[in-house]
Amino acid sequence: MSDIYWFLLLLGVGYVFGTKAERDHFTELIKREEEIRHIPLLSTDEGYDSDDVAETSLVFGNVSLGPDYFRMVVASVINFFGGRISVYENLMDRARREAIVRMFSKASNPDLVINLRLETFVVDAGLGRKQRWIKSIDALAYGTAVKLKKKAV
Amino acid sequence: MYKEMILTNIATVPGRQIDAHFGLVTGSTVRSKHFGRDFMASVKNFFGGELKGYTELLEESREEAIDRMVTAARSVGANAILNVRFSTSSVAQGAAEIYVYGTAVRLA
Repeated sequence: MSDIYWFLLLLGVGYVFGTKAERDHFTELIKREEEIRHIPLLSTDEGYDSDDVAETSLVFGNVSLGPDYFRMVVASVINFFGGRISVYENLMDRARREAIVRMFSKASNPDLVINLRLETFVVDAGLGRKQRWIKSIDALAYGTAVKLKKKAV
Repeated sequence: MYKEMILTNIATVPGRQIDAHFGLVTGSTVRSKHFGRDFMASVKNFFGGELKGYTELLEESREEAIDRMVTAARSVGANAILNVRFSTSSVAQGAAEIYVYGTAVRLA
């Protein structure tokens, strides 16, 4: 009988902390994306003149996010009946945006970033009785940071 | 720039001429976390949020894989690697293999 109380408690804890973490993360993402909005981000290899380029370098950013207990339970339920798992959609979106923002923070003030590639990887891990009880979404964003030559005024 | 080697994930280095091609160079590493990180991650999984242990693990793995690729390129006499691509795969429970590959060239 105490099992159901534990389950509901963890569910509540997961819901409260997880929702707060998600909301805070989205707010923080919007703020940090605003700071880098002036730098063009392209998934193609264009937007610059070959003669103007001073320096290029590979930059990458990655993050590992985990869902909370509430979201994992909701996802298993939806998984059973079929449908959109919006709780995980938010998680994936957050992970990719965070990876892109971190990629920018590692690049030292580029003029533009080209050939952006995004990769997501799910880590199912865990030791002990319940195998695969740790779920983590790893998002990787990488591209080429371009610094243009300073134009003589 | 990575230890005096230019890396790009496009097919050229803009503004530079390619003198010689040396073919494919690769770097890979397989890493897993120790039990402490596993335990903290599982606790964090109840609350949600970033799993810093895993983030650091994968970031360090990627830097090490790039390091190995750069070493391989340097050993054939290249000074740049083009078209760098990453590939991540799960090899065992909680262990990820990071594989990075590119084309080694010498720039004029």
